Amino acid sequence: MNKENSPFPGFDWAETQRRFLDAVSAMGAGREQSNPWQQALEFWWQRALPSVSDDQGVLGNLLRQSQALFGINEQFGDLLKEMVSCEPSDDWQAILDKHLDRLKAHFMDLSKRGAPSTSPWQEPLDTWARTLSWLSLLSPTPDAGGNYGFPDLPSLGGSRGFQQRQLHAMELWRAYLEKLQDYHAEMARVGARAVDQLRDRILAMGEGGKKITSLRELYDLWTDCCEQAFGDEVMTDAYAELYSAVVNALVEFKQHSQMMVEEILGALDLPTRTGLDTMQRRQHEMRREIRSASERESENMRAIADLKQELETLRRELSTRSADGKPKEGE
Amino acid sequence: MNPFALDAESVTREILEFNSRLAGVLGRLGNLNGVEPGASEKEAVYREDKLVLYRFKPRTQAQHPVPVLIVYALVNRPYMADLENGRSLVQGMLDAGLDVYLIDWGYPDQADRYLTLDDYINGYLDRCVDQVRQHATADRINLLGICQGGTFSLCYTALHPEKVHNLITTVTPVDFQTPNDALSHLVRNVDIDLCVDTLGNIPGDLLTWTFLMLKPFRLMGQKYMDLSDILDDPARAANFMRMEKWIFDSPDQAGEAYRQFIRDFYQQNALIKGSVQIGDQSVDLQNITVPVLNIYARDDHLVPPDAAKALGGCIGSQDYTEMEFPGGHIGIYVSTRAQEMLPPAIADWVKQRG
Repeated sequence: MNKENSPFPGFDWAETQRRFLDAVSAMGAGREQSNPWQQALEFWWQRALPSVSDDQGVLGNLLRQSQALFGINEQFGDLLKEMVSCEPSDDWQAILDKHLDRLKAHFMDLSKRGAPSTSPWQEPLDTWARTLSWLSLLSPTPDAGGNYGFPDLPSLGGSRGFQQRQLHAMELWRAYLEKLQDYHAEMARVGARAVDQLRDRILAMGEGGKKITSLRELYDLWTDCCEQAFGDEVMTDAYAELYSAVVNALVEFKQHSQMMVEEILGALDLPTRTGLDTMQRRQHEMRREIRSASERESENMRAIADLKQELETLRRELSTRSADGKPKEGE
Repeated sequence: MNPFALDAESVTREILEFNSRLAGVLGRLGNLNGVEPGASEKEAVYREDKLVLYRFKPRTQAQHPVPVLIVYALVNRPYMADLENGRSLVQGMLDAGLDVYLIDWGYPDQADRYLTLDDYINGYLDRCVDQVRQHATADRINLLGICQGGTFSLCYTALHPEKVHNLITTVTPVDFQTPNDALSHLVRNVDIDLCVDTLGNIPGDLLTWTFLMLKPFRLMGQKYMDLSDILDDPARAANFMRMEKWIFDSPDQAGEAYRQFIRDFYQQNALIKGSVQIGDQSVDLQNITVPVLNIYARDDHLVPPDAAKALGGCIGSQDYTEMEFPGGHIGIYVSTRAQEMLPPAIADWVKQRG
């Protein structure tokens, strides 16, 4: 595969592969690299992943998860190095505790700061961000420094009323960010609980004589622990309140923003959402009335047809009788 | 005993092998063909607004005289029931000699903002039922509801019992507040009026991400790692892509219908309490006296078994049958086991009741 038939526009696949393999073979050339395969793969992700946008769906998800797999190697790299090199007489559980405590401390630190976490705990936060990204005029995800800028809102001028509404918008945005921070903090605590689950399961495997023989098995185990911890969290009342608080806060901000936009559109004598809603509601009500009237008319027509039938029957019967009501002769 | 049996060499080998596989996968993904869903031939027999009523082409010489109308949910697209050859509830039912119809609700837009549950159930659904009765020359029909479509079917049968012969519900929520219902738990405190008043129609993407958020690590992460294991097999790869298409092909939800469904069914649990109003009519599940087959999925995390099984204690029918499927909410339609279990069971049950 080369630049012409690569799935990534303008991306020379063959050249990238060649450079990647050169980097990997450099490991065998005795050059000192603290984490050589990771460095080689970083090159890969630097070239491949930026070419894949969120719009590329399955492709993007596959590459991101592959990166997560290799991230496992990085995240647990020190742990793995010590664990595989420890002697049978060494206290492997103490080694495990040392590294997992460090990972857990990372999550607890994040929970204090209310900051979003990094891979491989990124999934619920990514998913959350995607869930809410269309709810807001702007994406709620932070910049590289973890900061949320205040969204730019259109402003036409300095009327006191409009300025007050802008101030209120800023208050609503701040309220939303506070809720989001609370959510990130709780997610970090859940991450810490996932680490505890991981510890318990590894210890259980050790007691049961089961082995972790591949990076993929470790990835699957970590994923399972994360899913379990997150699943337990989702069913708590506290999470339901937190989730609703974030959603309601963001929608409230969006509603206020819409109102400000409507004010501007109204000042420019342009159609507004409220105006269109009113038209649609009236149109809908008219359709219902027309359908209802049509159904009543159909019923009335059926009733009239029945009455005509009955009248015709009575006429026929009447024609067979004389003036005194008795049947005519021969009838 | 130390459970870690990895070493630097094995990890390196694993990464290199994975990387090679990934490179091959990326090429094959771009060359996948034939991933459009839909296995069975069908014709449109009625259209109204965005809705299309389909009749599937029979696959047997003779069909059971009472037709089956499949009522799908508003959420997601109905081709899940007819995903591909060999993984199609519709195909299985056709092969069992049933005459199958299906409502495709379409993709609501802003013009549908004020559609209510009354419009859907006493309007669209009732007119579709009349169309099927006319088309199949049947006084009454069999209704088969899927998930929310099952809830609609229950409401419809309670309000129009004279038009329904038998009722089949599959993974259908009846009690929306059982202890292990994560979805219900999530929306309990959401200000649904604020959401609908602000957003109008509810974007399909919101619902997609909400469902995925219930199991984010598995559904947004690990699943794609599994993909790298199956892409060598074009058929399995195509299956995966069809499912992906369905998962991310969620229609927007008409605002007023969504408001009522979430508020009345999820937040107030009104169906099982007997206080749902559709239009100016109350829905009393005791009015359902026709035979009912209630199929639920044992491992369903969206409609827990208890949420569906609650139906048994609510209806007036003397002929009520439950059936457990050993799988999940989606597996009940697309898994191999489902194809072996469900269509024959449904067909047998229907035929036994005329």
